[in-house]
Amino acid sequence: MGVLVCSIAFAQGSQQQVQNRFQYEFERTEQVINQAKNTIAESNTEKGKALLDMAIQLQNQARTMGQNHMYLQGATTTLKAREQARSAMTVNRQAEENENLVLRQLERSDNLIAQFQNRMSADAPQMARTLFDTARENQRRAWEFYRNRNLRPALKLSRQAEKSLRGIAERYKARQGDLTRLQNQIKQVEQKMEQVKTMVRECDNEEAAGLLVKAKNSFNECLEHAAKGEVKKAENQLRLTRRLLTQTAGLCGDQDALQKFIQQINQEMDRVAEAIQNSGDNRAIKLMQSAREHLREARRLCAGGNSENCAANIKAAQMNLQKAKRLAGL
Amino acid sequence: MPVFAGITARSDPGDFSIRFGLGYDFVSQEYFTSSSRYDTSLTADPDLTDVALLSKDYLDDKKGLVYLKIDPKAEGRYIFEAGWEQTPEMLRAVGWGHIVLGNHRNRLETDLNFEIKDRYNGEPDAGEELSIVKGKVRYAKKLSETIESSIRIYAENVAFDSTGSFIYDYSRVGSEAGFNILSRGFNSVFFSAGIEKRNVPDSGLLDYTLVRANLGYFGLVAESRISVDLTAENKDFNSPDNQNDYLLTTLYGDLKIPADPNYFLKPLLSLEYFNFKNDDYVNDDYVLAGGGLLLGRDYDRLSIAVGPKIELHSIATDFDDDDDYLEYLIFGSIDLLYSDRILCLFENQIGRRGYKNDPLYYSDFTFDRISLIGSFKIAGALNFDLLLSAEWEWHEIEADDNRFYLLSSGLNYTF
Repeated sequence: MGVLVCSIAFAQGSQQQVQNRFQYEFERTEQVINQAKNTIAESNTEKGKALLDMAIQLQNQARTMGQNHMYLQGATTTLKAREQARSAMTVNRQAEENENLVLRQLERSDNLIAQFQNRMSADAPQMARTLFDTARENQRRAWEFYRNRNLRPALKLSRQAEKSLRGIAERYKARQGDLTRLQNQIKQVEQKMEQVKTMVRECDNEEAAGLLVKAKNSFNECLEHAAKGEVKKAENQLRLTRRLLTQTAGLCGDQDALQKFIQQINQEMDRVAEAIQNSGDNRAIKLMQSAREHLREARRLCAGGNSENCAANIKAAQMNLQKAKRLAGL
Repeated sequence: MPVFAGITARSDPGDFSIRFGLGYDFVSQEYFTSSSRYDTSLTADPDLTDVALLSKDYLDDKKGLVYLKIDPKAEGRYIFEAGWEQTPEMLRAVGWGHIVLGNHRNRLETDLNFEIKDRYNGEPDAGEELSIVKGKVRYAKKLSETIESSIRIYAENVAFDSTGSFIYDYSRVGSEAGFNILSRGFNSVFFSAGIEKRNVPDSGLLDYTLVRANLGYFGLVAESRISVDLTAENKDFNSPDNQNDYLLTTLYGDLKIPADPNYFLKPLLSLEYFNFKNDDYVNDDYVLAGGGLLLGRDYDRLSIAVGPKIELHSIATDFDDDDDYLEYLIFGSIDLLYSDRILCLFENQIGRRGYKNDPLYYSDFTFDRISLIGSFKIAGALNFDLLLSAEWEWHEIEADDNRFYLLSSGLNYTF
């Protein structure tokens, strides 16, 4: 529409006016083409270059027309050339071939590589090392494409490098996290196993002893899975071990037995309290205090029906008391 | 269609290793267009209305390579690697060094890279022959058990033997300072800010000064693992009237919420806002926003995820036929980690992009994007690596159809 209006306007003017107008439009188109050249130099998009080439050819035709005094046709052609140059710049804006975005992608992958470089310790899995090397080489190629203004391959290759690195990180970090969590869980179950063992010794219940054997076997299976890195299987086995230990503790944790045990320890504390106080050993005195606190907590828990934790506190009180006696030379 | 293929052998990655092998690299892209595709009134020259096949071979190299690497005790503290790659026409010498001094409380890291590429057979095209030197020095200091500070200075110089209208020499110099606050359980908050200057000797208009700041968090919130990254970047070109200058703000985030001992939900978010200082018709402000919700399941060695994703592009332009679009897709991924024998990360995205305002230069299309990254220990010391990316676009206007393939494979033998 714009081209048509201009053509009519040119046709209505004098030859000199048409020539001036042609000159004006031709120069404006030259400016737009130069701007397009700069823009496309940054991104070097294939479509953008093709459209710019067409614009330049049209502009050359317009120049020839002007030289042959065909100002009207020349002006129409230079307007088309300008529109084509605008097309080139618009196509250039396509996100995937935008120089800024590609450069940011390259830098993002570079940063990841730098972070990985520092974490690639001697015990890193061989597979992680190999994938890291591959990612680094692909990133180098991506930079080469970028420098040659081949932006789309640069973007794709760098994205793949980033995906490789994030994939390694995600899997190995998640795995590291899983293993750490598993280790903590194993420690907790180990402690619980010790507590329940003590309870079973005290309560002399055959059924509880049988369950404890099952719990030990289940725990050993868990350790085997953990050694193979089979986290889920190890966790399932741990859950079974915990259930068995809870059942065992339930069989031995009748209130009467625990109350009796609390009473025994309390009597023992009363018996040695003065001797420990007189020993002058601060650590022994502190341990004695701690033993009393655990025993108080055990009473509270037992009264609330929490046999399992009650037993744990009785065990802690007993251990503190023994250590205090040792330090006091009793 | 790009293809990388190579077979390499290397010795034990201990103190000193040699890697050698043969490879084939091939990268190309092709699609169709025509002048009449964009303007049917173009009849000034009938030749210009011909359909043009736009095809570009980016790389087509059969190569031999040898790399020497020193990495004492495989600790990664002192690494030096030099390599030589040769094709029937080109040769490339590369080298890099990485030195770490100090301990985890005070650490100085130095990196130096060089690359020389030369055509020894035939006339070189612009951009084919080049030399690159780049280096980086980073000092990191632990201010306390939980806070680490760092400063980084870097420089790069790229020089081509012959430049072209789209290929130019440049150098970049920059510095960056940052903090990383760590807590128990690998949670970390990081912040960095930096400045960079680029110099293009042949075109002052392409020089720029860039200022960037970044704030992020990676760690656990309740039972969920979260990763958030916020960046602001200001680029100031040495051009009149703030031409091409912009402020870019980006926000990326993802969250992994355990929904059950084995299942998880993963919401994703991304946001990019380009704000150009001079709103001429070349550079319009735009927003690119993405989101998704994946449902996944973790097995011992396997993790799978599937869910929808969307991407919205909105541009502030004076033209009615702008290229605002909405892209929606179904994403699926399978990650397999089998001990130290197999690592396989597979992704597939199938979707559709619809342009809202019927733009002249774009057409709606359906796409399929596949990505596969794998490393397989075949037997003993024999390892196979694979990197594949493939994209197909089926447009409503066939002339806009596009396909893109990328394959990188390697067979490594370690002894």
